Amino acid sequence: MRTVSMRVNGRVRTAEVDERTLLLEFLRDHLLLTGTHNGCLEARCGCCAVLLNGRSVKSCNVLALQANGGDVTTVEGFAAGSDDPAPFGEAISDQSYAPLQRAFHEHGAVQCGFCTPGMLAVITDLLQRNPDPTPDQVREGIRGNLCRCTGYQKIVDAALAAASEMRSVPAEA
Amino acid sequence: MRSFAYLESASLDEALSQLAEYGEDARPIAGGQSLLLEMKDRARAPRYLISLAGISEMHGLASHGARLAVGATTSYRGLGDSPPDGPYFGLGRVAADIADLPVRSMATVGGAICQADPRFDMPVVATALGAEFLLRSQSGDRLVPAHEFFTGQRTTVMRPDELLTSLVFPERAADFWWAFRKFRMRSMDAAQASVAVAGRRDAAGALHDPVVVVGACTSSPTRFTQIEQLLDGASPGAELYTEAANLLATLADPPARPWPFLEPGYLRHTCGVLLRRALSDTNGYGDGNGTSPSGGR
Repeated sequence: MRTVSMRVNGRVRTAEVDERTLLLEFLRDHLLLTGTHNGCLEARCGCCAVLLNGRSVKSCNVLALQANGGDVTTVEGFAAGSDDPAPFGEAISDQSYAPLQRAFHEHGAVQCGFCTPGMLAVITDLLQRNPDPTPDQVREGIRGNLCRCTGYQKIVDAALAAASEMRSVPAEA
Repeated sequence: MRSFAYLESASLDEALSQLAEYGEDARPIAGGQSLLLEMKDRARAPRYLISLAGISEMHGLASHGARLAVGATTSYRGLGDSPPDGPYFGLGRVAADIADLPVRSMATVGGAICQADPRFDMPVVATALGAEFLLRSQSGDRLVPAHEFFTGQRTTVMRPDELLTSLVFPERAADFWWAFRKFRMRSMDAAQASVAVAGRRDAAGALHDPVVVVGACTSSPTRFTQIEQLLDGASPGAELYTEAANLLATLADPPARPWPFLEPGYLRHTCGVLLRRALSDTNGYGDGNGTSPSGGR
């Protein structure tokens, strides 16, 4: 057993874990942040993607120990003011959602929602790297994220709409 | 996954001493993108994982005179975002087209070399580019040329107490040219067939001393000297490239793979097509800054 400590959605979280614990399991089983989804557990589907030190990673293929001391953002942390997120099941007000989350809603990019947390993490990463991507660049960016509902077009539309909105509004400090 | 102890190394010396102590029971972990998948399957069950994340000297690019050293724990993402200037500029382009963005955040160049999976791009490219791998251990350091490093599917000449710390690429003159092409079923998959070609390209476009390496559908990166002889100094153009492609399609001998099953004949043809496309890429993967004859990217 090892003590693992990392900043998750702005708060330092510490737990005693088995060395084999994956970052995904640390988030879901130890911190009960179940928004990060366990899809394939072999780094193929992208449903478990989170931001680790600002970069998207597939949390099912990273040991919690590899993220020790790091800074993690999960889907629970994308909305403004979510460093103290609403309790499970409680709605977050519309205004506090990130532009990408709102765009997903408005463009019907969420159907069953299973891939959504990973899509949000990877597209957030993508838009930080490239604020004005082409549709092909968005598709390229999410090539490791499977969605079995939308056929991807709505997700690409949402990413482009969010990018456009984020470019027109100066980033919050 | 079998249980293991997780050892963090703050320095290269510490990692080498841990490797010397635990030998075959230990496995270094850089990004872990291949290793963790194997451990989940229990295909690999090291009792000690030696984390290389804290060893800053194994990370990033460095110039040794006119040679380029790529630190073994440089991520694909790091290499893709900050490619080296000069003849090896295209390493960034290769790195940026491997797997997918979140995997590239973690996966490292040295990890791909040590994993020695024939489907991975870096072993094939490093072999064609004449790279040498710096292997360090408590009993001494050695530089192993890529073409001697890979001994078969997922096997290398590395001893259990050795650590790959960097990939060293030789000095190249301004006429050096190289290109890489791969084929895969889905864009995030590892290659089913890949071809890397390197050599000196004269003003007329003819190749001299070419190296042709085929990967993915071979057990390890494999040179095809007959193709190299055909290309050496020959008048460039579609006719030559088609002849080379046809020859490769008869020489390549892809082993049957359970998934995704591709007819060996299909893969042989694919190798030829990839070679023809690589040869037709007159700009190549240099940065076009006086390093590749026709300029441009």
